[in-house]
Amino acid sequence: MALTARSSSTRTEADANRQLSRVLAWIGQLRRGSRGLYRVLRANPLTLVGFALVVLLTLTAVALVIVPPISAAFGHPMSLTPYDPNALLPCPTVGNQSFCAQPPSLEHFFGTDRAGRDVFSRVLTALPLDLAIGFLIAGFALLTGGGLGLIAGFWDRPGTIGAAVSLTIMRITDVFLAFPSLVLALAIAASLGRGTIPSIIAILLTWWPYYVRLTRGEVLAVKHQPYVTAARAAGVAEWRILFRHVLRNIAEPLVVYFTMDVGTVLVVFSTISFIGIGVPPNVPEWGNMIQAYSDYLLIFPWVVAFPGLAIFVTVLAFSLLGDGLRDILDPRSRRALSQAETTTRAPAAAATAAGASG
Amino acid sequence: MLPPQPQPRRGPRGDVVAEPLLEVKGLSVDYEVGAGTFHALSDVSLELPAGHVVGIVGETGCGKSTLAHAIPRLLREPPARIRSGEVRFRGMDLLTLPKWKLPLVRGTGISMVFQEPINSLNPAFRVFDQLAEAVRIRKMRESGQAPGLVPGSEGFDYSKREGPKPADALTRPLLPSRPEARKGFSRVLHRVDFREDALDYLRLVRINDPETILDLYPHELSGGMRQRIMIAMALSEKPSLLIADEPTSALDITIQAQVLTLMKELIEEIRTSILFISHDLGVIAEMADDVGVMYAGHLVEFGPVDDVYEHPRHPYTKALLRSAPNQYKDDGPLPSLPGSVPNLSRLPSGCSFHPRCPLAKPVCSDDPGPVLEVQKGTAAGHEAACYFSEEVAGLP
Amino acid sequence: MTEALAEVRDVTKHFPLTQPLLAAVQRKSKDVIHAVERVSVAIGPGETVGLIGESGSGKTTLGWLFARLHEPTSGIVRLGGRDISHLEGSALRDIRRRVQIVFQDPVGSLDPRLRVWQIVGEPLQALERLGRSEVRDRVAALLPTVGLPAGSLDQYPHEFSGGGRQRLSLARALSVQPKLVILDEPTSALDVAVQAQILNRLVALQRELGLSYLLITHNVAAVRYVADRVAVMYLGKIAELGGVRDVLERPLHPYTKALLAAVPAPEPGRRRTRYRVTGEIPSLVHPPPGCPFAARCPFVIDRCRTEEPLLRIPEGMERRWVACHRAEELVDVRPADLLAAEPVSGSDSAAEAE
Repeated sequence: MALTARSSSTRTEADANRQLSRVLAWIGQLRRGSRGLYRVLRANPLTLVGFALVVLLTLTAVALVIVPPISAAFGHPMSLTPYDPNALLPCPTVGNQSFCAQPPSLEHFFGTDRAGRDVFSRVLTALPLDLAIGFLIAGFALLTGGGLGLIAGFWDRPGTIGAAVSLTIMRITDVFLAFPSLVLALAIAASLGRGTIPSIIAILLTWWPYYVRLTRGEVLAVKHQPYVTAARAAGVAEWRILFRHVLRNIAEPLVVYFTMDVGTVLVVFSTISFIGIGVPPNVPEWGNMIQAYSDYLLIFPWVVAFPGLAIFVTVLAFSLLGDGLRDILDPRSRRALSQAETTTRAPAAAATAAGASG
Repeated sequence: MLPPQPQPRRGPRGDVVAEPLLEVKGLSVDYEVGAGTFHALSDVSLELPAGHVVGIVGETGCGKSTLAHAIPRLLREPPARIRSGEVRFRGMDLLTLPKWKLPLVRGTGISMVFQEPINSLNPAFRVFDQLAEAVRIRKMRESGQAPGLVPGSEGFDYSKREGPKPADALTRPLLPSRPEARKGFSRVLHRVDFREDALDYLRLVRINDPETILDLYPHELSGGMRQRIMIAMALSEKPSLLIADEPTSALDITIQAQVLTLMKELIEEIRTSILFISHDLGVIAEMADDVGVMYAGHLVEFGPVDDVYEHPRHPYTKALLRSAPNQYKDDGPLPSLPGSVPNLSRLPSGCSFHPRCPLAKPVCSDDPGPVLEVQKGTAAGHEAACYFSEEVAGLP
Repeated sequence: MTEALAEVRDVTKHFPLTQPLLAAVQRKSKDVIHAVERVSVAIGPGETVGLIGESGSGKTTLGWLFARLHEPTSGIVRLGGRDISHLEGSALRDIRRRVQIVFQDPVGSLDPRLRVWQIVGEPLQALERLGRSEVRDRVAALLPTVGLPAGSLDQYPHEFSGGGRQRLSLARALSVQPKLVILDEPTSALDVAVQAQILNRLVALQRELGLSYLLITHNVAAVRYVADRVAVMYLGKIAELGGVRDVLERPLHPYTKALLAAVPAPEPGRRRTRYRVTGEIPSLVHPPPGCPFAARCPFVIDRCRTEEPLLRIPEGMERRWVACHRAEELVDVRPADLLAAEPVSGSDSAAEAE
C-alpha cells in the first residue's frame, strides 16, 4: 500500500494523469447522474410534467425580470409582456357606456379588466413577484427553522446544556405551532399595516416552526443510525459528522418538503393579498387580482379565473416536482429504475485500475 | 355453499390412497418490477400428507418465502404474478378460488406464522384483544353464523358456549377486558367469555402466567413470548395446515430451542400438519419429516430428512450441508461454494446451478433443465433434480 | 507472560433510564440497565477471543467498551498497557487507530449516500488526514484484500449484497491498520455459504496482518473455527472463560451446556429431542439476586439463589474459569443430557415465569 519513490519528472506526469482522470471521472459522474435523472423522469410522467413546468416558470420569471434592464442598457428597451401591465388601454364605447372589461380575444389573450388593463400582462408580471416571494419565504424558513431544528436535534443529549437548549427551542416552537399559521400571519400583517414587506415578515414569523420540527425529527433519526456510530469509531470529529453524514441524509426530505412548501407559501401570500392586507391595491399580484374582482366572478370571470389558474398551475407544478424529487435524489431508487443488477455482487478477482469507472 | 367433494384418490391397484393435505403442482411465480421479471418460483411441485411436517430449506432469495406466501395467496398480485400451476388444499385449487372465498380457507384451513412477531402483532392492542379476535371468528364459524369452507378439525376440549350474535360483532372493542368492567356493558359479557378461551390458548403454548400476559402490550413482551402468542393465534382456529415462515430465526438460541420443542409437542397434541420454512439446516432437522431444498426458485431435492442429509443427491444440497457451521473442521479453510446465487431475472439456461457446480457437464446447460424425480439407487420418496446424482456421493 | 494487547479489568457499564416524573418527585433511585457487571477479559497480540451470548448478555456492550465507544461506569479499559477508560477528544481519536470495530448491521453501518471510497476511506481521512486522491489509492489497494474488485470505488453500498457490505465494513476497519478488530456479529445477517467465505477471509487476514480479534457472536461454530479462547456471557456477567476447545467440548457452566444443547444440528434423530431448559432471560433493570441463571438452571440449589457465584478456577483444572457453585459436581453432565428423547408433557420444574 505504500507509494514507491518516484522521480520528479514522472511525478508531474502522474499528477497530470491523475488530474485528467479526475476530470473524466467527474464528467462521467455527471453523465451518469443526468442519465439517472432522465430515467426517473421518464418513469414518472407526472414528475416530468412538474419538473418541466417548474423549469418553465422559473425561466420565464427570470427572463421577465432580467430582460428589460439589460436590454435597456444596450439601448433597446424590451419588455416581454405584450402590454404595459399598468397601462389603461382605450376601452370600446357604445353610446355613453364604456366596456372596458373585454373577454379573451386575440389581442388580449386573457381579456382586460374593468380599468382596461391587459390581464395576460398582469398575470405575467405577477409571476416573478409571487415566485420570488414563495422561494424567499420558504427558503428563509428552511434556513432558520432548519438551523434551529439541527441544533435541537444534534446536541440533544440528556444531562447536557444541549438538552436544555433543545428543550427551549422546541417549546418556543410549540407555542408558535399552536396558532393556525394563516390566522397568525393575518394578525401580524394587520398589526404591521398594509404592504408587501409587512406581509412577508408576517408569513416568515409563522413559517419557520414547521421546519424546526421536521428537521429535528430527521436529525434524530439519522443520529442513531449505525453509520454515525461507525463514523465516530473511525475517529471523525463531531462537526464533521454533522456536515458529512447528518446534513447529507436529511437533505432529501427537507428539499422535498421545501419544494412543496413554495406552493403553499404562494397560496398563503395570495390569500393575505386577497383579504386585502398584503400587496398595495394596484400592484399586479395574483391574490390581489382575484380580490379586486371577486364580486364580479360571474360577470367577468376571466379577470378572476386566469390569476387563479396561474396560482393553481404553479402550486401543482411544485407539488408534482416535490413528489418525484425523492426518487430523483435517492441513489437507491435511481438505481432501481435503471438496469437490473450487474455483476458487482460476486467477489470477482478482476481488479480494474483505480480512478474513473463506469 | 361448499364445493363438490373431491373424488377419493386411487392408487395403481385401485384401492383408495390417502389424499395429501396439500399438493403443489408446477407452481411458477414471477415478480414484475421495473428492472425486469424475476422468476421467483419455477415449476415447484411437492406434496404434504396430513399429519406430516415438511421443511423447505434454502438460502436467501431461493424462493422459499415466496412459496410460503403463494400457497395461501398472500402475495401482492402486482408485482407478483402466478404464471402457472396448481395449489390443491384438500382437493380445492386455491389459485382458482374466487378471492372472496379465501378468508374462509385461511384460519380454519391454513394458518401462518411469520418471522418477526413484533411485526405481526398489532402494537395498539393488548394480547387479549388479538387473541379474542381469533377466538371470536372461530366461535362464529362453529356456531354456524359465519361460513367456513373447511370444517374445523377435532382435538380441543372446549365446553360449548353460545356464540356472539352478528350484530355484536360490529361493536368492535375498545372495551375493557377486565371482569370488573362488566357493570354497564352487557356486550362485554361475551368478551369476558372469550377470556377463558384466551387463557386456555396461552396455557396451550406453555406460557406460565397467562393472566398477566393477557393484559400486556406486544412491546412489553420478549421475543419468545410474542412468537408463542403468534403460534397460539395461528392454532386457535384449529387449522389443518400451519405454514411457518422462519418462525424462530429472530429468536435467541435457547428460546428458539424452547419454541421448537413447543411446536413438536403441539404437532403431537393437535395433529396439525406444518410446512416449515427455514434457512437453517439444523432447525429443519429438528422439525421436519421430509425436506425440500430450493435453489434459485427451483426445488432441487426432496425426501425424508435423515436420508437427504446423510445421502444428498444434489450437488447443491451437498455443498450446503458441507458449509453448515457445525461441520467446521479445525484444519484448513472452510469449504465455500464459489460464485453467488444467480440473478433471478437472468437465470442460467438448463440447470440453474450449473455455473457453480463441480459436476457440471455440457448437457447441464441445455434447456430444459433436469426434473425432480426419483434417482437410481435412492430410497422411495427421495427425489433430486440432477443428471449426475450418483456422483454426488463422491464429492468431498 | 506477554502483555495483553487490550484488556478490561472489573469493568461495569450501566445505562440510565429516564425516570417517570412521579418517581423523580418521589426521589426514588433511578432505574439503570446493568449491561455489563464487573467483567475482566484480556486479549493478547495475534489472538482471537470469542464472546458468546444471547440478547441481554452484554457482549455487544463489552465490545463497544473495548473500542471505547462507551465510557465504563467503573473499572478500567486498557489498550497496549495504557489506561484509555476516560479519554476524550483528540487523545481518544489517537487510540482509534489501534482498535477498530466492524458493526453488526451491514445495511445501517454504511452511509447510503456516500460512495465506497468515501466510506472505506473515512478513517483514513479522519485519523491520518489524507487527501482525496491518496485515500482513493489506498482504498483501491485495500479492496482486493477483502475480496472486492478495486474498481468499485465509486459505487454505492446498496449495490452490494449482504456479504459485500460486510466486506466493506471490514475494509473500513482495516484501513488504518489497527492491531485489534472488534467483530460484532459479522456473520449473522449472511447466508450460510457467504458466512464461510467471510470467516475464511477473516482467518487469512489475521495471519497476514497479525491482528487480534474480539469475535462477538451467537454462532457457536464460528467461534470454534476462528477463536483461540472464548468467554460465555449471561446477563452482563461472564459465566465461563477458557480455551475454545475446552469450553465447547467440555463445558462446565450449566448455561454453556444449555446453550450448546440448543444449537440445532443437521444430524439424524434430532426430530425426537425435546429441549428441557425453560424460562426467559431475566430483566436487566432488576437482575435477580444470586446467580443470574438460577431461574432457569436445571441444577439449581438454594445456594444459587442467594449467593452469587464468582468467576473462579474449579478444583483440579487450570486456565479455565467458571462462575458456578456446582461446577465440579456437574462436570460429567453433557449438553446432550439436556435433550430428553421422550416427549415431556406439561411445564417443567424449576421454571419461573417472567
